[in-house]
Formats: sequence, C-alpha cells, structure tokens
Amino acid sequence: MEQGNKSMDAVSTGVAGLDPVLEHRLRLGACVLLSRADALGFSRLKAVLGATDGNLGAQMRKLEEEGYVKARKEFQDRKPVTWYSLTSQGRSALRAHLAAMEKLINGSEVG
Amino acid sequence: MATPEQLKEDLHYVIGAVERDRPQAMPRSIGLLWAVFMLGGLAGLDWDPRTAGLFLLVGGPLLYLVSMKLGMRSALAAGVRDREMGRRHMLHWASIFLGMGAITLIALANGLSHEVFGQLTGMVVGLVYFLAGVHFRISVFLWLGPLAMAGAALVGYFDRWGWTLLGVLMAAGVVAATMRRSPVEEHSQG
Repeated sequence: MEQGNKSMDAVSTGVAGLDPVLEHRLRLGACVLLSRADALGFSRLKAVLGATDGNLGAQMRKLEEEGYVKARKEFQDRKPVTWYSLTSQGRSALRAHLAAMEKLINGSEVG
Repeated sequence: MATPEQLKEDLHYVIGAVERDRPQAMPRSIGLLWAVFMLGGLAGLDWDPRTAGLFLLVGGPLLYLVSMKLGMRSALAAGVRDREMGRRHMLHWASIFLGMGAITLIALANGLSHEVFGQLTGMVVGLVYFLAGVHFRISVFLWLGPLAMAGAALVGYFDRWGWTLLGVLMAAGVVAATMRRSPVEEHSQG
C-alpha cells in the first residue's frame, strides 16, 4: 500500500514536471542533440533525427519561439546554412523535463 | 497527456538519434595527406634515413596544423560545431609531439641510434592511434595503432624494406579509415 502511494506520488510529480514543449519527440530529440555540441546545422539534425524538412522546420521554429534554441543563418561555400544552438533556458528546461520523465517512468515501474 | 509507455518510446527514439550522431569518420583530405606523408617518409627511411628523418620531423608538425584546419572545415561541412571536441582532438594528436620530445631527450642523454629513435617514435604514434580509436570511436585506429606499434618493434628484424612495408600498411590503413561513411554523414553534408 505504502509502495503504491509512493509510486503514485512519483507519477504525479513526474507528470507535473513534464514540459509540454518537449513532449514532442522531435523537439526533445533536437534539444538532446543540441545539448551535446555548441551548434548543429539543420541538415545534420534532419539526418540524425530522420525528419523531413517541413516537420523539422516547424518544430525548430516552435523551439525558437519558446526561447529554447537560437538560430543563426550563415553562408557556407555560398550555400545558406542554418545553425541551431541550445539556449541556457532550453538547457534548464531539458534538464527538468528529463528529470520528470525519469520520475514518471520509475514511478510507473515501481507501482 | 503523455503516458509512461509513450515516454519510453520517445526515449528510445532519442537514444537512437544519439547513437546515430556518431563522431565523424576521418575526413578524406586528412587521411590522404597523412597516407602520402607516411608512405613517403617511412619508405624514405630505407633509402635515405637522414633526409627522411628530417622530412618526418619537420613535416609532421606542419601537417598537424594543416589537419586541424581541415578537420574544422570538415566538421562545419558536416553541420557540427563542437569546440570541446575540437580541443580534444588538438590535444590528443599533439601528444605525439610530446612523446617525441621526451624520446629526443632520452636519445640525447643515452646516445640512442637513429633507428631506435625511429622505432620508439613509431611506438608512440601507434599508441596515440590506438587511444584515438578508444576515445574518439574511430574504429580503424583500434587495429592500426597496434599494427604501428608491432611494426615499429619488428622493423629492426628486416634487413631492408622494413620501414617501406610499414609505410605501405599504415598508408593503406589510414586510407581505409576515410572510406567508411555513416548514412548520417552522407546525408548531412550540405
């Protein structure tokens, strides 16, 4: 009974801590990849995440609007390249979201 | 609201993406430069050890600087900006020169022959290659490193062409390292 209550608490805490912006797997995946480098190009993200141009573009715009990523357009060998980097706000949000996911998953396994 | 099962699936997806985000293979430009350098320099040790030794001593650091530049450009072309990884590569490959510096001091203090100096340098290069395979996950170095070390140790047993044979094997190994490309690298260029 007590263990059941503990797992319910963990699930509740986990659910409360989830970030709706990062509940989309493409946005979550993009933020995790960006947390591992200074910046990644759009093509790199697309190749690693296995996303289409349109879908990835839309999700990255959402992350930009929320202030989680910063985009910078440059020219490389005369081709336009968009570089994305994770902001400090995005990094904090990612940390909190992953911690909440862990609580939720662990809580559901204990119960 | 996301269920734990959905979250687990999302995590698996993200783990898969992280796995696909593997470190870059050796850029072809760097591999080919070092292959030519090693082949020429090592084979030269069998023909004209003095000139070849100077070529390797002077050319090595120069090629290192060129490689760092090419490596940066290659990373940018692959859509990756990672100063920390760049710094690690710089320090890692520079350790060859630290090793050579130490061997030089030992050689001067103990009157080591040029042949032994060359063999010890080969051992250091092989060890640095092997550790590159371990830490940067460049799998070809996991066998090329030990090959270089074994070759450096055994070259003294050949009357002739020992260094040339080692140079051919090393050059072929480095070229092979540049040939393998992950699907991500093929698709993320540009």
